[in-house]
Amino acid sequence: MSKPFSLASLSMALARRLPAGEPLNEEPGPQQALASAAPDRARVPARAAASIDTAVIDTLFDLDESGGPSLLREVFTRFLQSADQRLLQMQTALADNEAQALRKAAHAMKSSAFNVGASALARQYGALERCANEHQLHRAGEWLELARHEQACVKVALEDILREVA
Amino acid sequence: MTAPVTRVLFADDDADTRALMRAALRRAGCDVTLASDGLEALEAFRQAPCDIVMLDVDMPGLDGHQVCARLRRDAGELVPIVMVTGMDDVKSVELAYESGATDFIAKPINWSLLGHRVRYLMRSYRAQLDLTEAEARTTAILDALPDPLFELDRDGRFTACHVPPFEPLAAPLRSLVGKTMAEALAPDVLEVGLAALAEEAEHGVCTGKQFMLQLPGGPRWFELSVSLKAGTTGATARFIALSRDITERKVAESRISRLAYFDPLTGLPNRQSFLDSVDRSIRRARREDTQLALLFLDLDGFKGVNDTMGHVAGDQVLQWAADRLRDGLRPSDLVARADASVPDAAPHPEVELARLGGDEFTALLSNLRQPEDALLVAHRIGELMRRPFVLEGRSVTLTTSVGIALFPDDGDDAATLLKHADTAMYRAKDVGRDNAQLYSASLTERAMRHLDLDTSLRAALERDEFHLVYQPQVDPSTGRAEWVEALIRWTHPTRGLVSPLDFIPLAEQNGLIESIGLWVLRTACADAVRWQAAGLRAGVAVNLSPVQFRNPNLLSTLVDALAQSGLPPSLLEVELTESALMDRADGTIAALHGLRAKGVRIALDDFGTGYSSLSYLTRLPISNIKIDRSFVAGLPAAGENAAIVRAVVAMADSLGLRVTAEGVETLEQAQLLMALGCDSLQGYYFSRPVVADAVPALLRQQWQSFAAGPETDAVP
Repeated sequence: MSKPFSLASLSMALARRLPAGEPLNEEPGPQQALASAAPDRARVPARAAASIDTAVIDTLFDLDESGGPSLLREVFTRFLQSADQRLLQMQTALADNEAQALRKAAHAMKSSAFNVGASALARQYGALERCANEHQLHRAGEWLELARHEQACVKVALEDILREVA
Repeated sequence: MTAPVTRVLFADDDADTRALMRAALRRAGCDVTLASDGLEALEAFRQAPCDIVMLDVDMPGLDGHQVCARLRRDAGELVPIVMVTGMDDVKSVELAYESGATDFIAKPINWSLLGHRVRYLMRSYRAQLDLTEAEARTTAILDALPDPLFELDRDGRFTACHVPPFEPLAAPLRSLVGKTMAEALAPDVLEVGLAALAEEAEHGVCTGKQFMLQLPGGPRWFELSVSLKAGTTGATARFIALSRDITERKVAESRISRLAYFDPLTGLPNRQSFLDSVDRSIRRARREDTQLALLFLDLDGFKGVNDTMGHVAGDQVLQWAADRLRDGLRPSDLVARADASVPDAAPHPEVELARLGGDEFTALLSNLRQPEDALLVAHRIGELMRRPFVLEGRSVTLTTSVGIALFPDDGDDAATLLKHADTAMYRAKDVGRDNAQLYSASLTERAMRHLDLDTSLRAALERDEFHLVYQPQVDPSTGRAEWVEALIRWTHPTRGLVSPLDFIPLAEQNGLIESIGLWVLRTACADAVRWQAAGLRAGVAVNLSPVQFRNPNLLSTLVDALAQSGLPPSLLEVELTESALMDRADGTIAALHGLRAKGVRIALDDFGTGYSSLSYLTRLPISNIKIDRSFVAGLPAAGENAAIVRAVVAMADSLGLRVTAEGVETLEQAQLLMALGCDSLQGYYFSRPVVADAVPALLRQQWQSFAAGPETDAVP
């Protein structure tokens, strides 16, 4: 089961994975966190928290053979490298009315989004996949537009986290 | 137990998913092979088969379902194939099962749980492998077993069966399934089967219950082993029953037992078996206080047969000899030779034969009445053996020497009896072979004499060696004899006169009494008729033996004799002893009444020596009481005898019976008995018994006043 999103738990997740002696700020509110320009420990996760399921960080550290961030980096980096390209493919397929290609690409992206903990994005791609499967291309277009926005947020969040674990 | 490393093949076109899956599986301790599409997956499996295959459904080229179907076809039914598919994609899950997938994992994958998932799958897979192997082993074991196996429920219903290959009874065995034991089995087999189930249910083990079936090929023996199927109990209990054909073992056991206890040449019990049997019989004879005889037989001249004609011929003779003994000494043979007409004769000897070795045979007789019985059997054996054996066209005659030892007289254990019988057998050889000797020489002589008497008695009637004598019974009031008592005499050709006290008991024992009694009756009647023809009226009294009295044909025998002779029934009196009346049966009482109704008189002989029960006198149709001579002997001196006679006369008077006194030897006795009121007197004082021709003179005689002394006034 995915745990419900909470900023606090995201902070905790990162705190557990980062070297000791780097305490996080206590109780950083979301607005406060987003408003702050300083790249401190609290800000990064706070921004990421909006789009990323924090549990994925624990999982990726857990799965890493040495318990480090390598796997996280690998998965996040590949997502960042391929996500926009795939988004473009979907836009083209939609424009060309190629529902099947659209469906397949959405299916693949749904899976990728889940892998990086972008649950909201994954659900949008899932909805897009269903629309494509049912040839409701107009609605598919709406979901694709939503996904485009969300994907931008996800990218920022992933980049933030990557920087954080660098 | 450390499980071997699980090898997992995972195919997915998404690199992230592959990376995560590899990480997750490695973390769970698995070896991981990755493939990025279906063809690659098939190739990877072909190169290195793995324990679990995990397939993404959506892959370019061959999709997961197609790969699954091919793997299932190539790798068998057991390899776990897991489809990785969207959580909401029900259709895909259904397709996965149709293409042979073992299980599915829903996306998004819960990576933390994946390792556990794989472990569970592996456990199930290994359990299935173990089960498959166990089944294969069980099948192989069952096929290797030569025995039919059944599964039964608690009610004894056959629920399944396993029949070994080439089982001739396969069809009938299979047809048992669905039936209960009670429906399918014979009562004796059913009993064994139910006992086996009960024993297993109670003690948890049951082997060795045996039963026999009559099958078309002959009787077969089976041994039942039953075990309760693990995990079943109470109403759901299931038993496995194995039925092993042990006929060959039974046959072998019986052969071993035969070899141990029987002589293989003749089939007779061997020495060991015989000695055991003697021991048993001795114990029984002790308990029942009876006699045994051990006969030791040796074939005279057998050695000559062996030496001149060879061992094969010798063995043949021994077999024939055994057959003759077996066939000729059955109880029925012995009964026929002795006396079948005595209704309650003692049981005849039982004979157990054995061959000790060589030409030595033994016979054990139990229920022996007297030593003579053993001699009779020995003579019978001699007769059986004396018949010629025909060997290779030659007639060979053998005789037998028999030695006899008796229990308890000659020994009280088997070894002693056997030794003494052997000794007696050598004496039989010494005295010229072809005879039998008892261990006790004097007994041999006595028994031989007894047997000789028996033989002579059987011939006496034919040789007309019997005759009757008559003694008058005098009426003291008239001084005349109106009745005579018939008494039998036997003149033996070499011994002369033999006392009835010696031969009547023998005749009663061997059954000759019937024919002798009949002869007496007919002769006496004929004599009386002759006297009648001469103008002399006299009744004749005839003694009846208890044996005759028990014969249900008594009445008709007597009536026939009267009719044949023409003697009026009123001139015949039968004399019975009290002991004859003791065991009277309804039939004979009826006969007595029948006789009485015809006018025949019935006298009670030897009165006073038995129970002297008054109930005889009141309930039976007695007409005459004969006071025994022992009461007369002491008179007149013995006052108490006189008192008894007086009492008997008084009682007889009141019952309307006549009284005869026997053994009257003096005048004083005659006078006293007359004074006491006796109706007739018999004894030497009047006359000794005389031959029939002398009777008319007695009948004409007039005995005068007793007070005046023995002065007779014979009428010419």
